[in-house]
Amino acid sequence: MKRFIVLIAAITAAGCVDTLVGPDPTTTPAGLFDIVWADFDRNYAAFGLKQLDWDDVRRRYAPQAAAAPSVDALAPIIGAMFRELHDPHVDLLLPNRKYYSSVDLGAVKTYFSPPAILGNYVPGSVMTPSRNIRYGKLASDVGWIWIGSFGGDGWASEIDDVLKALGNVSAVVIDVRNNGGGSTNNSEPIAARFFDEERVFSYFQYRNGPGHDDFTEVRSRTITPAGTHFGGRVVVLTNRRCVSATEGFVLAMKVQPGVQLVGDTTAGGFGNPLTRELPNGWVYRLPQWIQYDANHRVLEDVGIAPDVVVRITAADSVAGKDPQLEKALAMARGQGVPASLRKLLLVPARNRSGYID
Amino acid sequence: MRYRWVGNAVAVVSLVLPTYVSAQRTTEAHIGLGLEETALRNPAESPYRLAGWGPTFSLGVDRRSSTSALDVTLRTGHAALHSGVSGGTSRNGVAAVDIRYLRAVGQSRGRVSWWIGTQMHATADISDHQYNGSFGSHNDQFGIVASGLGATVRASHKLGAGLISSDLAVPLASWVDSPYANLKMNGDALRLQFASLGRLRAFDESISYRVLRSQRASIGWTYRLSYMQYASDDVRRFARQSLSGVITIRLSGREP
Repeated sequence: MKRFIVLIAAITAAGCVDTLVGPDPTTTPAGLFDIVWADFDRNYAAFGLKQLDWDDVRRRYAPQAAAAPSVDALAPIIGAMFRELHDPHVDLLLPNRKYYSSVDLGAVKTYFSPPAILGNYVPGSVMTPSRNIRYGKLASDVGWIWIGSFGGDGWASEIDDVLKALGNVSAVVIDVRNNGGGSTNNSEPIAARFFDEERVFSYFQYRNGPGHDDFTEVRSRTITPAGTHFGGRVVVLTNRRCVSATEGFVLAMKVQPGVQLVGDTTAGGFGNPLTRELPNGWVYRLPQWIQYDANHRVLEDVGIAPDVVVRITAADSVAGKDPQLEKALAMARGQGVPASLRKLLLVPARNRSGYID
Repeated sequence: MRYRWVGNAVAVVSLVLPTYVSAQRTTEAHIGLGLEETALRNPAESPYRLAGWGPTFSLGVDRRSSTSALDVTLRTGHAALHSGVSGGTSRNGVAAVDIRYLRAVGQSRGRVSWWIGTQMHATADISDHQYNGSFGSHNDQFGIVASGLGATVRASHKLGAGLISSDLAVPLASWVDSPYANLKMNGDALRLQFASLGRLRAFDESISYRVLRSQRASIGWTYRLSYMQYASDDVRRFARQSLSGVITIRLSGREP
């Protein structure tokens, strides 16, 4: 009997769950560097696209990390390593707001100026409660919907109120310039308001193995019409700071027949990042998937080219002009549209078939 | 093919049950509520250990005679996990179903009754990691689903006015779905794959004490320690210990 009780007590005493799962890895600069490098080696999806020898990167940066006198000194070393990937979804953020990005989209000059638009083109615009959408009329028959961000949750249905408020306009310009992305929980429901039927707009594969070429099968992403449907003409305005979920939105809008893209090529960052935490409140991100457009093309580092390219110059900006918006307005009214497209645009959206690439 | 194990499990239960209902038996229901400590180290979620406490709840029915026993138990738990290194937080939930069939194999000299048997189990362990960094507040889910067949052994002994028993179960053949990174990778599908004993190692040990009474209801406690280690491209470890108060209600038959 005593043996039985001793056995039970021994089992109970051994019940230290922390011991069972093992100790934490070291938090020295070299140890943290190893964690970050190995995490990318194991999970980063775009090595094949970047044509980067990640082992060589380790050979060059690990000695610097090992020589770092403190953890704080490690941050710029990791930042430099991230820049080698040239990926808008790779970045390191410190609690003191110090930010190390692989690509500095903030340095990209777009000359996009909301004050110029609000003052000169849509003076009576209105902001939605979430402050993510601003809307108004470019002309009596053309609405303007500026989506500044797809971040946050629970506001996508505001687009229904926007479309109702715009009334019987025959066309809308959806302006997503400088939109740095956010959540597909917002971008895809908004796109759904402009779809006339369920359509596949993109494909993707997740990295799912230790090999840099290990991926899941290709899966599709679809959008099904939802909410208040807008069946009129749609022009989407893009520029070089459109990235991430915004590019997903543009990919989606691009497959809806009759929708036209105008402005500048998007940033080319489709990565769907994992977020990671390190000691000291450091946070970094790395993309875990490869996204393809509806034609199975990879646009990472390439971006989505508009149907009609229009750029804003510094002089335009000084003069308060927005030639991208002016062109979008003209296209929304069916002006300056190639004959082949114009013919299609004259057909009501619900009767359209075919695909504009 | 993927769900062949479900058919196998049903076949085992249907073979066991007919022989089981014929003898004179006692049927009891158990309801347990307690506190559970959870610790996990899942490299897909974080390189650091996440640990914390939370409530656990169990509901079970057992039917037994002097020679055999069939236990069905459902357990759930929830814990708020935290990493002392990274400061990361995660909400962890676990749900487990155990079906155990045991046969009495005799008593040792210390009057300890020994039982051995088989176990069918299914466990889902999901963590919702809260990233409150400056990239914006968002979350991501990680976890594992494991099911399969195993062996179980029970030792029980009358101690004072009560009965103390120890149950140990280990899986021998498992089917596991543990996405390489987060749960998003699976879409809506469950992707169970066979995991050999070399890849999934686990045990579930519980020690229970209950006061034996002539009334229909009795009280007791259960200490449980469970551990699961799944080795794929990395090694994922999940450990729990809990202490629960248990109410047992005799539905039919006599006190054991």
